[in-house]
Amino acid sequence: MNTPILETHSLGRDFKLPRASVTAKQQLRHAVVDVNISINAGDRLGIVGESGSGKTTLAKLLLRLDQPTSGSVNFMGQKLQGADMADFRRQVQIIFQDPRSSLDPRMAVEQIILEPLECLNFSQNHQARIDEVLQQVELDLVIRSRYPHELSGGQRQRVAIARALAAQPSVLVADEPVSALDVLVREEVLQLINRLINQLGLTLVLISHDLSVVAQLCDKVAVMQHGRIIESGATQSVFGNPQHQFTRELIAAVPQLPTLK
Amino acid sequence: MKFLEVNKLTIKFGDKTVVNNLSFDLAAGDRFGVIGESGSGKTMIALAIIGLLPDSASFSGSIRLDGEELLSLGDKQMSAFRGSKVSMVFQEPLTALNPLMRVGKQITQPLRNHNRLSARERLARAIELCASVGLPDPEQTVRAYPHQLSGGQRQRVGLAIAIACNPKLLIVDEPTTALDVTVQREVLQTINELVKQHSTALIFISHDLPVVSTMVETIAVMQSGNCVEQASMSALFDQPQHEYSKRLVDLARATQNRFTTFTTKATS
Repeated sequence: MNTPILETHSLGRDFKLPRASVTAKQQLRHAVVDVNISINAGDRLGIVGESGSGKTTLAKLLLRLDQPTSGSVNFMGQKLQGADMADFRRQVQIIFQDPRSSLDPRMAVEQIILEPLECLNFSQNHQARIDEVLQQVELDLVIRSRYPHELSGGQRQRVAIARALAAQPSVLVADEPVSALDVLVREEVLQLINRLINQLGLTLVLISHDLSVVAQLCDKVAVMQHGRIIESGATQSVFGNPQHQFTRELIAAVPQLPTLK
Repeated sequence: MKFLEVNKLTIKFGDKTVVNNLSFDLAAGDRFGVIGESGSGKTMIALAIIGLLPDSASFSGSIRLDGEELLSLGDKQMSAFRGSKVSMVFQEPLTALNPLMRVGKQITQPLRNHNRLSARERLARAIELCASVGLPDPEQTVRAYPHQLSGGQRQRVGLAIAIACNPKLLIVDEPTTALDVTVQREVLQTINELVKQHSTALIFISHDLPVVSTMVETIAVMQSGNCVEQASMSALFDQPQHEYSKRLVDLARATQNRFTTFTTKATS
């Protein structure tokens, strides 16, 4: 059996809450509790749940942008440690929710995409690679010298995708990648992500509260509530035959079109 | 006579037209939707009706509410209308609510302005309103500050403020975009029940067709300031006239189909 590309062992993350008074006991908030997932190469895993259920904290732990308080994350079967981090950083990239805040407003598009190439010591010609990823995300090359505020919402998110893909990662983590976009633009960006995942053979971890987005892109789903994964499996079986009450509520909450009732 | 008549409303910022020649009317109890992408002028329509357009905006046309021309009203006269005849629920409750004021006081603020009630009566009314918008434990909730409430609860407070003086027209601007899907459904249900109960006219602004479709009977589709189509909900789905409406309808259908292929397979 293949080693999973990303794997967690009873992963937990507690946050300390502010004390109610000097003498009060320290209260903890368990943002992620005992999460065991394993993601194989080529998987498309969707993580769904309400806000505050720990989705984003879990993503940050997977990306090593945050340290777990218990348990561990393994990358390619190895526990993450200082020396291997460079390779891990290149292999695992993220797209954030709102490109207005995830793109530096004082950098032109080419600088934005150049940054990961330089930081991660990308071996090929950097300028050629910038052109290449911009074409991959279907942006015109004239955009290279533009600044984020000069771009539309859809273009900004494409730049964020281009930055994530620049150093040729194998895992893409997307945290609500389309929820800041208008519906029609959202569809285009989703189709783009879908195409890129197929073309480049990427592994996808998609975090979303929108089940229809997950239904479109993911073949596996994990449902989170109060920091725990309460149900997981193939998208087909989780959405088609939900076992947990909360999963059923999530599915029922998707608005139904009147004509299709 | 119609309760609300918007006639050839045009709103401009300098040379830029944000709403172009829009006309529609509503009878009491009508539920009307406005849909369009961001920047299409949806919110400006709401702000024009409620008299909160920024000073830099210039406008022409007419908005008649209950026979009164709103666009020519002065600030003071408009204040008398706002809250009592027409009120609005804003998109982001965290910015719409005052963080330093207990929610009970915020809910009773329109009552102070429009009714002569004693402090005790106002408190009783605030508790009653909290209960009617489905806030848990109303006696305690009126004493809470906005940051102590969840997103859905905050939006319910926004709704309670808006309906405090039984307005005849309620405008809600993307009330659930900041909320979770499960909470969204509950808040929408509450809005639906309230407007039916009081036969309040509703203007529901959104960019999300599936959400609007559960809330309104007729809809205006906005694209870059122009109303490209006005139709009943069923007509829009059966025969969208404009290219843009057609894309919205097709996408909403496709999304739903994608989802229902998963959910119905198991039941069949």
